[in-house]
Amino acid sequence: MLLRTPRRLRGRLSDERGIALVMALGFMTVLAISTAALATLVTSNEKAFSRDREETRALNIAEAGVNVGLAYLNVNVSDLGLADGTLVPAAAWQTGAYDGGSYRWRAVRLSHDSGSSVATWQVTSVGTSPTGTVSRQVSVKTTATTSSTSFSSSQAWTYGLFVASPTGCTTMSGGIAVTMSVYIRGDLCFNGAAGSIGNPGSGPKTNVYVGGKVIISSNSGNGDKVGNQGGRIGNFTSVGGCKGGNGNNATFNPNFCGSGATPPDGTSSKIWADNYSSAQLAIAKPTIDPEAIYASGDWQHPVCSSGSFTFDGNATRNTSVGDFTLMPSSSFDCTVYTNSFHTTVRGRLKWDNAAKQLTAQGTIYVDGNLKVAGSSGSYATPELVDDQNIGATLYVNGSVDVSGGSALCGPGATVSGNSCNGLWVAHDGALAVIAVNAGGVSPGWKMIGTAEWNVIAYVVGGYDDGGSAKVTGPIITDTAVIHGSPDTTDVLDPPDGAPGAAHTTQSAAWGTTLNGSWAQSPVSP
Amino acid sequence: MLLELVFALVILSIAIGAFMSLYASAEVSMRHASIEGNALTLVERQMEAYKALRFDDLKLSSATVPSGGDVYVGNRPSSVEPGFTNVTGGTATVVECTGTLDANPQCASQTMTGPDGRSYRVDSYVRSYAAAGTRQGRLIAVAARLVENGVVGPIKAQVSTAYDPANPPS
Repeated sequence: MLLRTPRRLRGRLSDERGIALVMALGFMTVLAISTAALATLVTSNEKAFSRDREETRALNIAEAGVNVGLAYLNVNVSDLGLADGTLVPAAAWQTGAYDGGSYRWRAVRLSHDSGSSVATWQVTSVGTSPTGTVSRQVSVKTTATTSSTSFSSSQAWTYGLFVASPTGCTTMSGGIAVTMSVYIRGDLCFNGAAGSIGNPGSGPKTNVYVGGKVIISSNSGNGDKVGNQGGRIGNFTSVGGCKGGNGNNATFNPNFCGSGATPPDGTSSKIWADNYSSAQLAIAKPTIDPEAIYASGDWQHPVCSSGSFTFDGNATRNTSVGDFTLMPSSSFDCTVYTNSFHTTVRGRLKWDNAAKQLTAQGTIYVDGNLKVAGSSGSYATPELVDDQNIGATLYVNGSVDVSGGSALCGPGATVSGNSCNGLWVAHDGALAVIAVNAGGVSPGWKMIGTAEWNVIAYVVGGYDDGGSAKVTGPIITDTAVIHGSPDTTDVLDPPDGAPGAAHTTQSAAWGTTLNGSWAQSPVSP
Repeated sequence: MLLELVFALVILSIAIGAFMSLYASAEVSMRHASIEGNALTLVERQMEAYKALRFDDLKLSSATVPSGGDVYVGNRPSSVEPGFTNVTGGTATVVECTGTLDANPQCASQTMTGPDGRSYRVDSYVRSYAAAGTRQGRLIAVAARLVENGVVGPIKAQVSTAYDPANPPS
């Protein structure tokens, strides 16, 4: 038994039948493995290259998203007033499609350097390749620089009466005594018996500028018209000159205003001044933008803690309120905000009928005609926000009509019948009333009877006062007829919001991307 | 025994045939991938050249823009709109855009030798655009095509992106 077994094994091993098939299967196995390896290599190479291609396209799509974000910031976003951490867009990433893929971007305000007024923003974008299999995120930083520009108040406010129209006559008639500096771009005409311009009882001397001629009518009497021998005004300028001669021989020449002795006297011209000039002085009337002021407040929806006051009737600037008064028979205290969210106050108007006290703050727009007759009061204009000029500005969409029996006295003065006792101290509070005169009525501002208003008057169109009615603040108008006796309180620094008021504007400008700020990062969710 | 050998040879020949076929297709696939990879390298190089420029310098030389019948127009990248208009004003000449090794951002069409020694044509498209609510920027697309025996083939690689005046920094 023991000898038979090896022999049988040797016999079987020496039998080669079937070996070719075994070898063929072996070869096939090796070939199959090689084939599978080659196929895997080719496939993985193809996949790897495909991913490279997708990554490149996704990266460039992401960069396109960054640039769309930068463009959006530059056009649509102001850095002014924004806090660190502010997101743009606030709600969600902004999405877009490009090159067969898609991108989404978002910007965030990272920091602000108050010393240099430079804010740093980061714009991040995620780009997804056309197949949607690869996303890449890139970001860059950019800056926004805030700058301030200050504008001084208009030179027009240095005059008590500023008449802007280059044509026509500014008429002074009746027994008026104007004691304030005057700028008249056209002609100055003295009609009537005893009108004159002189120095105030105290303070700097009056200056008079006339861009046209000085015309004294034959019925104006023989009295001095500007200053007098014992009380010369400061500077007198008439570009068109004064009249010399009579009738058909009359001519106008600047030399006729002051001539003769040194200094020249005004015996012939009836104009007495320390200095005479014919030099032209071009001062533009401050402009107003009633549409923008109207759009800056939610006038139709005031919030009144007591009483009521209608600022606007229909959300359209069309004098919908009609006639209104600032001093009605019942009290009110109403605040208007910049918008319906009530986050920022635009202006406040309060009338205490018992104390006859008007309080005005900020900028107020009333879509009506201001018409006052037979009511009086005093006013205060406390600042609305810190560091604001103490004063308030009231825009009247229509005209202003004060028909006697009315006093509106500023801080420092008190009501006495239809006039004000004491001197209005504009430094402690000033109300600027702007007659927008949207209807183009003539005059845009009328004062008749017995009235005294310690306000700043700005008129689109004509200003006309008569009797003993007067505005004691500066008057800026296109044309003027002075029958009353206006005097002035200097208001060189009119309230914020008034035309030509000193103001500072801030602007923010976007810069370019910061060198070295480009970065890749893991894709944000 | 003979029959067994015949069977084995048949099986082997089928297997080897399949293997050779696969090898051939793998060779084609690898070559294709190699060409596309080299084309992508050239495209990226051209795009990097644009990223190094100031915004105002993102413009092509009109002298290097192929005529309307060329594949430059007829077989443009998918991101380039029909009837597109390039921003021109560059000063590169056709000679400067032929057979070069360095990417020239002013060349609308540039023939160059790739890293694999093959000849490629790199076409660039620079257009103005303004996405909704934004400002005027530039859209840039770059495509590379293989040139064999003087014949320009289809696009092998393409990328597209956008530039705002704030980026790249001036």
